[in-house]
Amino acid sequence: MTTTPFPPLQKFNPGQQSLGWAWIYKFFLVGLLGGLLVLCSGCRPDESLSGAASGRTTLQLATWGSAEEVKVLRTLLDRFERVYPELQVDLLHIPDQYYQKLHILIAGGLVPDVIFTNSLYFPVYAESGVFQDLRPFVAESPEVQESDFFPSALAAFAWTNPGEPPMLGALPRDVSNLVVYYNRSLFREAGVRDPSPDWTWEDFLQKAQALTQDRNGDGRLDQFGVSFNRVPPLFWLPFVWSAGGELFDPGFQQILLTSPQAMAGLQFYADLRNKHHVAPRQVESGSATMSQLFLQQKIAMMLSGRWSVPVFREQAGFDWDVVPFPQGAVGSRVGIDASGYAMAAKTKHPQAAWALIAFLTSQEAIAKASQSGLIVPARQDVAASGAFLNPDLPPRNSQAFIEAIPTGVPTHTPPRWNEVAEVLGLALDPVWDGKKTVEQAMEGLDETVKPLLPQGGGR
Amino acid sequence: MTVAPPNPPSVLQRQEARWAWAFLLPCFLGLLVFTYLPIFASFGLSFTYWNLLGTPAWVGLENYREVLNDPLFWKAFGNTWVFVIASGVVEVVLGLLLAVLLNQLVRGQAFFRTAYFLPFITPMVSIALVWGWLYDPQFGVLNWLLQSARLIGEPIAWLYDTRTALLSVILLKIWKNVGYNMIIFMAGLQGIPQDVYESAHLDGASSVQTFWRITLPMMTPTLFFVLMITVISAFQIFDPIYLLTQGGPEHSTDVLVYWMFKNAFEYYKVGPASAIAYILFLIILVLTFLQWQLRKRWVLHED
Repeated sequence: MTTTPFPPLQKFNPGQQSLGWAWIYKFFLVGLLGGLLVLCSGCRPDESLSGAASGRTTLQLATWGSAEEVKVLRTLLDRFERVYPELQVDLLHIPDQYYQKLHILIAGGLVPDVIFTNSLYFPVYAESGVFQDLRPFVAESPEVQESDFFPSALAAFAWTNPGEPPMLGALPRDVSNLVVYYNRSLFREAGVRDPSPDWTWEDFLQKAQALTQDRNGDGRLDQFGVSFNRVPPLFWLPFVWSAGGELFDPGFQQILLTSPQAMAGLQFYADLRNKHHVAPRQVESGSATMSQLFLQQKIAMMLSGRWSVPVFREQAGFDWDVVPFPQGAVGSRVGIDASGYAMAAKTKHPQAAWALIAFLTSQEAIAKASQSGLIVPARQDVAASGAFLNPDLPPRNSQAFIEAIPTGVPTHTPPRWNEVAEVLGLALDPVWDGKKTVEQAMEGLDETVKPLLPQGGGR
Repeated sequence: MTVAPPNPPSVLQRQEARWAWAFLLPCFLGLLVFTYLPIFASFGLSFTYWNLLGTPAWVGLENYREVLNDPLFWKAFGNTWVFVIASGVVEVVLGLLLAVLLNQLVRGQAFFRTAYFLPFITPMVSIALVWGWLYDPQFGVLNWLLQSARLIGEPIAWLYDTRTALLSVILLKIWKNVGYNMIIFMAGLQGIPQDVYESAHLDGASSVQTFWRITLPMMTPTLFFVLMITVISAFQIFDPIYLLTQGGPEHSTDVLVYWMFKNAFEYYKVGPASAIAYILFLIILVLTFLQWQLRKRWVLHED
């Protein structure tokens, strides 16, 4: 048989069958081993085959972001690998359900070395010891100083576990804060003057009323003065803060939304929609997002962050600009939520991971990331530079994003923030839908939230 | 014919058995890793506290106590029952009705059969996307139709109103699944011998009498199967809720599987989520057992 190059096909031969059996057995064994190898190389990115072969250390970096954002990041990583030829970066791009995926990776023991994170969601990782304190690295680093960043951006990543020194959970790349986008064309048409930077809630309401119209005369409103978004707490916290209220005390002893100031702020926001009807109700906005309605010129003013800029630059067929959030009882105070790079406590290459973090938060890297218009840089030098304040592109008043930073408040969130947000959403939904007053909705909130707050620790 | 004495398996049979195992192995490995292990693991995890980040800590029955004391669990529990009963009844009755009607159709049967079956094989993601638009309060075709027919004045907010959101998801589920039930019923109908109908016709039975006295009793095994499948799939409803309402507004569309998912992957409470999974398992188990017992009372000509 060994001499025959082509064994007969049709003849039944038990000997041949057992050869086939052995072959199948080997095939599965090889397949199984191969599968295990692939799995294991996935779990130890620093020992992956290519890295081991070339003698380079591989770092895994986890991030979310749009395709454009990732493109910018990839060019930065190429540059990083040229500067540090002994390192290579394996980019783990998770476009959707980022924190769910991150949790699963951590549960499976596959923690990426460097993790992009947002300050709203990082406490759960800081509390569980997943992230390393970056303070010692910054202290020793010749290229990064704490003073390079806006103090509020660093404060957003501050965390203290009970009985431990305060830690810096991540180094910020950008800050997100809210401003008011407005459609200047609609303002012109309605004969409404542009908002001034020091405008108040009364001005805000008056302009919104003038811009709320039934344009086609069918008896139903089809243009609204202002957007409405219920996502807790992003879109309603500026109303709480600017009215003099707070969400939590720094030690997370209790929720402070039940103070008269906080409730006044929340009620003003709800009244925009239900009492004055200058913001669309759910039945009027339907499945459309506020950005879509703004682009369709169905809302004249929209509360949003810097992330709206690229899409408005591309798609808005009208004149638009931004203006700071209007002043309430204690001024114009919006949140400062930061996004930045954290280091896994379990990384095998802390020095290499630090090199990557320092590179990605350097002036050069943050300037590159800011050019798309998507982010407000967390570094003071980039914020003042042409990379961000590009005079050739809208919005003219980009400075408004920078000016809101010094008065901005980092949103204190407890580790079990997702559950608290759910409770807040459940309590406030009837308020946003005009079925309850804020006072009614806040009844018993204290006791519901209390068990979800940490015992000790905080910012 | 006498019963042949059991032969020891021949070489050929043994070879074939080995081949069978070889071909079953990849599938079985998949089931083992992705189904059986998680089933056992989640049972164990239902007695622990684990946020996916640290190591699980034993808490005994605490998770079950927490879940059963959670008003939102009971909200999801109630919604699930409303969902199961409403979609179950309509899917079975409408499926049977459509099958009987289609069965009488001389021309165009293939067309209608395909048309009704199509939603069943269409992925839920695309269905949910399209139905999200149909239900849109502003430009949705459903409100437009109802308003054009002067059945409603003000637009209905469908998925965004606590009074209509669950109903909207139920309608979607019925639309998607009724074709499957119809196909199974049609197969059942075609299994009924024609001579029974012929003799009934000769005896002067009306078509209504034929339906109640012949079709329905002869269909009970099929009916039983369809009922079980429909009820179990309704208890496991998840994707349209995840895609369209995320349990909202105000938890009016929270159902058990979605609530379990939320606990595990949004609140990172793996223990309570596993407890919910086992409570749901228990409900389905008891229900299936009851149906199995009651089957003897109403399902005809079983072996």
